[in-house]
Amino acid sequence: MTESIARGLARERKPRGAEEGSPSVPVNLWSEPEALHGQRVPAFVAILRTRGCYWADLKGCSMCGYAKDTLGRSATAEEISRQRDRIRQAYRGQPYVKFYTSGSFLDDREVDAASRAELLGSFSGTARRILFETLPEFATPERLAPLREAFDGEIEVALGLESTQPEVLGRLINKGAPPSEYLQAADRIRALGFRTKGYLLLKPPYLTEEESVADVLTSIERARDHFDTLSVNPVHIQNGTVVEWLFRRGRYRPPWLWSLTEVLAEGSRRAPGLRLVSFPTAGGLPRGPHNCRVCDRTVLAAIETASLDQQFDGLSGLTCRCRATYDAQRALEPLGAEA
Amino acid sequence: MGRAVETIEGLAVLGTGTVGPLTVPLPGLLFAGGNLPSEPMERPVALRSGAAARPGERRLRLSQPEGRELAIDLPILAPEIAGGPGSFSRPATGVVALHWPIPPESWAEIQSTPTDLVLLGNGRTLWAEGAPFVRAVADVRRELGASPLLWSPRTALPHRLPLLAYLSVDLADTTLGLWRAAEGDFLDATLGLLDPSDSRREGRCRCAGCAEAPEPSLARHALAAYGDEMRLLRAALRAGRLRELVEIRQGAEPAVAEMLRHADRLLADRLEEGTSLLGQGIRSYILRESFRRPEAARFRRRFLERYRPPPSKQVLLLVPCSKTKPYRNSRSHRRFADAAAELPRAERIHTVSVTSPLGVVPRELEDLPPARQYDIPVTGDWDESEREAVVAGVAHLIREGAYRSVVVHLDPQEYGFLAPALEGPGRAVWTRSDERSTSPEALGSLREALATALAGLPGGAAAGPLQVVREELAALAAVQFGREGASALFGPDIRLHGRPWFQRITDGAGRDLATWQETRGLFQLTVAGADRMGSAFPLRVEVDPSVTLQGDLFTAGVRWADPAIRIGDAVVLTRQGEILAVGEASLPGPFMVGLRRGRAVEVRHRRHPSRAAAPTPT
Repeated sequence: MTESIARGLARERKPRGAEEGSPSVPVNLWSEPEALHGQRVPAFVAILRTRGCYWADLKGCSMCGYAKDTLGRSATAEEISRQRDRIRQAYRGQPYVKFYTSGSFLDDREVDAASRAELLGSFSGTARRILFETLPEFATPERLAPLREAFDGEIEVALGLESTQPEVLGRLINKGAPPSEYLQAADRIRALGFRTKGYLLLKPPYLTEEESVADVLTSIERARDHFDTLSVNPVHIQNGTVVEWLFRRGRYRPPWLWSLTEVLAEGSRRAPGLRLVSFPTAGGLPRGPHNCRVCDRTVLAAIETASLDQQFDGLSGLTCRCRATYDAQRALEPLGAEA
Repeated sequence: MGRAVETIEGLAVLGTGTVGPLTVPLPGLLFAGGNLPSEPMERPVALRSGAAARPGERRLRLSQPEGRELAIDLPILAPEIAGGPGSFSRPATGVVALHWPIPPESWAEIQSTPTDLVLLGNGRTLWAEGAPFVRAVADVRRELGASPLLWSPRTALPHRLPLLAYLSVDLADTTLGLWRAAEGDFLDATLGLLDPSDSRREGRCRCAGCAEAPEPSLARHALAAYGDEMRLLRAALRAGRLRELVEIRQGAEPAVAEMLRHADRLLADRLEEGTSLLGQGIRSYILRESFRRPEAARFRRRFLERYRPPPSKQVLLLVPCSKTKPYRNSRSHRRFADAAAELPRAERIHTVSVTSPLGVVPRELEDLPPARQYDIPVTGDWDESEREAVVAGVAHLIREGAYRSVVVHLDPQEYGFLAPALEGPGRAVWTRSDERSTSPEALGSLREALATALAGLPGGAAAGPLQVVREELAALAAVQFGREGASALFGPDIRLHGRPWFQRITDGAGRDLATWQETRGLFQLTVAGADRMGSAFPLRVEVDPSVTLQGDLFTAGVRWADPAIRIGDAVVLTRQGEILAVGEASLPGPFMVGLRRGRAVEVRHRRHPSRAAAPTPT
């Protein structure tokens, strides 16, 4: 059996050590608009530089290239602590704080237990809510309970569920755990008194636009009872991924924003009471979700407004000439053997 | 049932295809979304999608009026993730979907079930890669033969239809054209894409879509463009001019040119196999790709492999070709002939024309297709491949011929590249100083050189003009039948009858062996002629024991056919070694074996019943 393209890409994008970024400096820090209990607030985002996702080394998800932002070895507690200092320096008192690691915050190989508690604890009294992301296998009471002790605000645990359909998650996205494991993890997290947020992927490779809309809507319906928030992530092309490989060969187009507006409008109708949001990365760019150059900014602004205010009516009234192109191509796309 | 053939060219089939409940004209269009063009069509096929069982799977529905439908259920294919080489599935009875490349052991498995339709699932991706598309088609035809229909989904645009058909892709869907139309493209088979506003302003298209008010419909125009091009391609295929159309369509998109170049390289044998030996009308050879046309390449190759100059020809005269075909009827060639007419032993002069794309054409091959059926732009510029072909041809003549001297009635400026090839049988005499071949000076010089050359020939028992004609016909026969076959046919006892344009060859007992007409250029055999050639003549079709030969032979009655048989070849029909009849091949040998329907041989002459082999008990 020859090596798959996915495996080869996973091997290639693995960091080689010396040439990567400094282990004392986070990958990136920024502030973004968010909402907290119905109020618009600024959120502070920190991407920690860690060993990175173990799954990315083993198999790798077809759309994820975050492994390039990692150390390729475990960061020491000292290095994490220096990253924490940088984070504290950049922090401006935003009430909502999000930690990402290009992997799992709860994986001890990425961030050890003591560093996790120290990091969260350092925001006690300032932040009202802290979010971090993890794979479901690390979302255990042993890892989670100490964090509740460390931080006095709300904790929100984010899971990259992507899809509740096993074929999509396993064969097309290439995740290790089945969707059921994500749903069970969400239930465990909630039982401990934490909030849950699920990411759903819009348009994994090999699905048509039509199928990917249906996939997210199905996922919203199946996941709504396990999560407080579902966030739709339309695929953007990351370096060193299967999606990029297909994109370069003309076999992948990032999702249209029309698909995203449909998913949000219809999803909010099907799951009333659920917080449904989307904050696309690389929106309006060729490698991100986009419509045409004419309407991208307007549509993206409407999506952000809808996400922050949980008001989706405005999404239905959007129009542009490119809508006809979208409708025609969406109908034609299933007429072949490949997406 | 697969493909039934009316005519073929290259790998293209004009005919009818049957897959499950569907019967479609070939080459044929599948109309995406069931959107049909406004003009009436014969048995149109709608291509629609259906609800698949699982996400990522596809259900394609091909349907025709009266509720006939073929549902094709394709599995999830994500080879970039799953790894391994290509895969195949059987998404419906008689249908195989391929994700090329297919490992050898899978081909064996695919062959174990009859296939009427091959769906090249990743054809669109392979097309974008270039050569892999041609390799995939080559694999499909090598492994699965001529019978199954081939479809490469979402690959066709109007200007690509001729090339796709030429590569044996029988079915083309309109999906990609409608996709492009949705993006605002105006499809034009000649120019590829045209600005919609320019085409509108000039009324480029008269189709119903373009006439729509207030806005022309690019989608309906695209459908009309597919329909127009399909009709043109079918007409061209019927006329044996598909290759010309393919060459013309290179201008619409470089990918078409790339694909044709890959095909000429990777599929040359297959394309030659599907190219008739017979000539039809006059064909233009304009582009570099025309030089590589299968019939031209075959002429050059057979010349080098099979042709030997008649031994009595002792003076080689090289002359330019002429626009009029055959050359000997042209004004210039008649004047060259006049210049030598009164000279003693003028029959010893071997007049050979230098030309492209055929290289060199001796007078006795002037009727052999395509020597009588081509036309080229004449500018005096020769590119490298053209020169190589001429030089190789002249070198072959000089090596194989019995020439004592060479007279070159060619412009020395234009043909200087030939000089090195002419070293050998004495010094070549160049009889011209400029581009005028029929000026009084040039013709005077030609006559003088020929007179000198003929005078210099040794005396002795010279063969007369009739012997030279025999030698010429034998040389021609060698190109058609091979040297061994020709020498068996042209034994010492044969006699020639008829006129220069219609020859009848008989044996010592007066039995007809073969006939030859100049307009056809190839010999036709009788049973006696086939008997005489015996094992020296290889083009044999073995008739199935269960078949009683009445009229023509159809593919169902073919047990085996020599793969070297081409359309137009004289073939012998045998049963267990006994010759039953002779005829003209209607299909190439591999198609006779591979197709389940269609005429294989047009029988010309059957053995007299009294001499037939005893009937086989059935």
